[in-house]
Amino acid sequence: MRKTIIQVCMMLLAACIFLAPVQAAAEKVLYAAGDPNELGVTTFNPIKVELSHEAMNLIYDKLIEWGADGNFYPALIASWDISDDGLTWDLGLRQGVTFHDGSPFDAEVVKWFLKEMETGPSAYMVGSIDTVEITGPYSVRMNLKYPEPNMFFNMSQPFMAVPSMAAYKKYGDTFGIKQIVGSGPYKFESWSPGNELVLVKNPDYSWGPDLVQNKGPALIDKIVYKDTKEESTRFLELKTGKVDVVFSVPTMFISKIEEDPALKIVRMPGTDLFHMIMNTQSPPLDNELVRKGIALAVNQESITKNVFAGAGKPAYTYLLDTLPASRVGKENEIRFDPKASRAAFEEAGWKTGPDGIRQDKDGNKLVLTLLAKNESSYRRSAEVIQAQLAEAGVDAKITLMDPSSIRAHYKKGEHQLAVRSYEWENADILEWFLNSKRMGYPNAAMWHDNESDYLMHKAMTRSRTQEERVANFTTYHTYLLNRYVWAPFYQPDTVFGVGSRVVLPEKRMARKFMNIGILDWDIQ
Amino acid sequence: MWQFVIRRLLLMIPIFFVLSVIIFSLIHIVPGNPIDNLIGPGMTKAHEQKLIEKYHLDKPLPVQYAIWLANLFKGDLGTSIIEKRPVTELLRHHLPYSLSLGLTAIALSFVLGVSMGILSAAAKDTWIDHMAMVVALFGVTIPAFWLGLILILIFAVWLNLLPVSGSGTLVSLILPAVTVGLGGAGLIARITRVSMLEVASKDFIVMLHAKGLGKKAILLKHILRNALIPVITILGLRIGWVLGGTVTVEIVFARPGLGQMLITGLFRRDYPVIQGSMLLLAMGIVLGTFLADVLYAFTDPRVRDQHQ
Repeated sequence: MRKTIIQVCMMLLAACIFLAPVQAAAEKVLYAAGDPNELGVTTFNPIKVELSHEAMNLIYDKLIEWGADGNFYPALIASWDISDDGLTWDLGLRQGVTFHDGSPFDAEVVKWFLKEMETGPSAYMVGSIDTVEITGPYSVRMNLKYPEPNMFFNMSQPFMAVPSMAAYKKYGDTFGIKQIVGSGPYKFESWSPGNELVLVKNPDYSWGPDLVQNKGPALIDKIVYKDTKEESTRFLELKTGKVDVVFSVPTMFISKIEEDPALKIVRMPGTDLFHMIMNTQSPPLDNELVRKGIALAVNQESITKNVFAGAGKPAYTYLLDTLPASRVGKENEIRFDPKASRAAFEEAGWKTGPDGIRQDKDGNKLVLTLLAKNESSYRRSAEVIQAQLAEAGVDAKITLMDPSSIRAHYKKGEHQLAVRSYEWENADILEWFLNSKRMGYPNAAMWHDNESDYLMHKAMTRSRTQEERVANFTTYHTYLLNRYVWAPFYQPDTVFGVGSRVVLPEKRMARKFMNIGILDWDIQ
Repeated sequence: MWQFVIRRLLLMIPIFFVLSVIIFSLIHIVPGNPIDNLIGPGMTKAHEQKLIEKYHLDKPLPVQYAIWLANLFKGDLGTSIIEKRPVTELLRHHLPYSLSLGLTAIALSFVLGVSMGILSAAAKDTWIDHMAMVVALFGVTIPAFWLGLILILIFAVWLNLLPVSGSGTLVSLILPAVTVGLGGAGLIARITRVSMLEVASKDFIVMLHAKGLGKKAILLKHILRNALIPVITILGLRIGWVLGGTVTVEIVFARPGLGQMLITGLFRRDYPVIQGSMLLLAMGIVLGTFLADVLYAFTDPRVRDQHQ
């Protein structure tokens, strides 16, 4: 009897040992590592949060998806019909969608959501909506106060992703922190601060947008986002197969990953734009000709090659080149032109002195302060710009600071030049940074110009259609470029390192890399 | 003895208040504020104002300090302005990672450092002594950040024996603990050596030799015991240091410890997070010093008698 029991126990133990790896192998887990600041802040209430996390795109569905081709695709909103005056939007909603808590997505949820959005920091996204009427269980009508062609963009942003109405009302303030309920292809499982965030597959998901082949459920069972601040560690984790995806690979590791046959680099169009702002109220930068001289002395190609090793492209305008309003014509672009730079300085009365530094008629030297964030790409950009400006006869003195200190400095208005970047895929960023009502920060250029404000208001609020909006923003953008408020210089690609286990689809239509397109990914 | 312990404990109360004032003032003197980090394109001035009022940033600094202190006594360290979670919850999460790394590293420092120190002192001016001191110097001077990356390269990438990073398993603790521990070991080895040589030259040791006591017994029972007193002081001081001073190692090995929490909070100017973590770290150092004093008194009757 005793012998039999021992034998049974041994058999069970053997079964466990053999079966356990089979079970573990069956689960497909994708590990992605990134700098916590890039991955974002782990609060997941789209209505109330100011800062978003990458995972928001997988936990929640958006009303509209924005494709890599620049077109908008149906998502939770399955169809739309906009009146000629742009004031009435009839929206057909996708049927059969349920949130992770089992509650349905319908017209009532959309009406509640658009109203609730008015209570949060992203209220401006629904600022044009006057009323919302339910026209059927799965259809609503939005009546707008003024035409808002940018509504498509707003609806495609994670800040306008739709949470479960039932869960939102039930949990109140803790929604998005302790309880996270969306309708996306992945559900929130756990979060360990500074360590990792775990998402698990939503097995009921079957409403993937047209951007993806696989409508759901996802092929990968679990996604683990690992907070790894040190870029060398991220690279080594990828190299040793401990992670499958590395966010924002630094320039110095790109060639190393490309050399490794087991790894690959995926480049996506960049969403950042590096530029140097000029304080237009700080003499002599209040002189447009001086600003022109400085802007045209910045050699974009040289910075792209020497600082960023060609991991992106030179920037000649104030907007990402993927945006239609960036197409301003070559004559309006700000391109390195030493001859024109010299001419502008001379015309402004700044002649080259005996020491190579320009001087005005009173003998004042052209010495300016140049602020930069204390991070390698900003510091190195500032150093190269400093050398380029020296060639043009400008003595730029670099000061390095952390981002919070720089913003405090901007508010005082004592700065002159500053190397910075922004990440935003909409032409309305010009309004954010150059609206005269936001002097100091975010308008660090201290730009106050009535014509500019007029063009900005026209572009922001008086465009009836998408085409009209693009035309208005192009005019506004062209005006700003010719006032030389910034010197643009670099637009980096977004570079990801991908391990050998990840099987990517041949054609990727999603705009972001680890976004809704993950439905088509697999793990070997 | 107890009188000494109680007196030292009571002394910690004013130290706590002074520390809280210094920590609060320092972070508010530094330029920048957390709200700027939350405001993005499209957000209105009204929303910015709402956030400022919500976190009492519109109130004078003494009022803000009083609110923080009052909540502190209720066990509430505030809510992270960026992460929107209670600071106590964040500290509860991060502290074990720092404690496990810190205590393992201290144990490693002690064992390695004292062993090297004894070896070095016992074989003074021989190649063993020189070698041990070179290793100790290497441990003290080499930047932890660099050492961590080299250890990862050797043990995780080339030999594939240990994980590159992580924090969930005991195995993942080995490389960070060695990285932190080596620095401390170097310091302790040098102090142990110097202290042992100093004690060895004392009259009572000469007397013990004259009495015919064995060399080993003199070294371990008499010289080492007396020589360990400064080592204990250093260990006590390092308890607080290893909790927050290992930030570079935490970053290299992606360990979510207190140092990393503090640095992230600092860059975001997340006042409640910075104040909470700095206070905990500072109190760790105070507590470490207190423990060192108590141990000092325990091991050295002269100190105890002096206080009595």
